[in-house]
Amino acid sequence: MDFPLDMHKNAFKASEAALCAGDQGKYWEMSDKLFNNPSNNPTWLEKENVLKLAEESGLDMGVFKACFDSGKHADEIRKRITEGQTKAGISGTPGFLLGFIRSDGTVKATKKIVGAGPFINFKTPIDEMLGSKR
Amino acid sequence: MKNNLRWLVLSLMFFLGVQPVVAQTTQEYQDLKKEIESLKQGQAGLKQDLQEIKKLIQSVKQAPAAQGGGDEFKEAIINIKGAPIRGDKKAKLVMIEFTDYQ
Repeated sequence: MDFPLDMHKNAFKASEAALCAGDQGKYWEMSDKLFNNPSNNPTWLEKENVLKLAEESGLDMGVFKACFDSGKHADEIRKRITEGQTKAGISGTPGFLLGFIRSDGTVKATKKIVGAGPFINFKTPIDEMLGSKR
Repeated sequence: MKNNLRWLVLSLMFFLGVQPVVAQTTQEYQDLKKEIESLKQGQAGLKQDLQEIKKLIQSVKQAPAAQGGGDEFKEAIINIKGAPIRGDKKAKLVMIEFTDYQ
C-alpha cells in the first residue's frame, strides 16, 4: 500500500506513477523499477526518469502521462495514508499490519510490525496468527 | 685586573648563555600556550560531539514510544479494495505493507 512520506520529496508522485502503471496491469513492474536505484541516483524519482521507467515497463505512454499529470490516484493515496495513520498509528515506512480478510473484503488487522526488521520479526507474529486460527 | 676579567666573563656568560635561555623559554611558553589553546578547541569539539550522540540516543530511546509501540496495537479494520496485491488472492491471512519511494 502506498504511504508516501512528506519528507521524501518525490515519493508522492512516485506512488502515483506506480498506481498509474497499475491501471495498465503493471503496478509491480513499475514499483520494482522505482525502488531499484542501484547507484543511489538522486534524480531517480524525478519526472524525467519516472517517464523513462514507465516506458521501460512497456506502458501505453499516452494513457500513463494523462494519468500521471492529472493526479488521478492522488485522493486514493491520501485516503490510504489517513487510514493507516488514524486507524493503525502507522507513522513511518515500512510499516506492516497482519490480519485476516473478512467477507466484505476489508482486513481485520491485529498485529503491527514497525520497520524493516529481520525475518524473525515477521515469522513470530505470522506463526502466532496461524496458530490462533487453527 | 682580575676583577675586570671576572666581570667580562660574567657578562659574556650572561649575553651568550642566559640570554638565549630566556628567549628559548619565551618561545616554549608561546608554543605551550598555543598547544593548550588547540587542546581546548579539541575538547570543545569532543564535548559537542558527545552532546549530539547523547541527543541521538535519547531520540532512539523515545522512538518506540512515539511509534505507539507494536505491543500497544490492538486492532484495525483496513480497507484494501483497489490496493495492489501479491500472492494468493484467496489467502486468509493478509500482510499489509505501508511503503514509500525515496
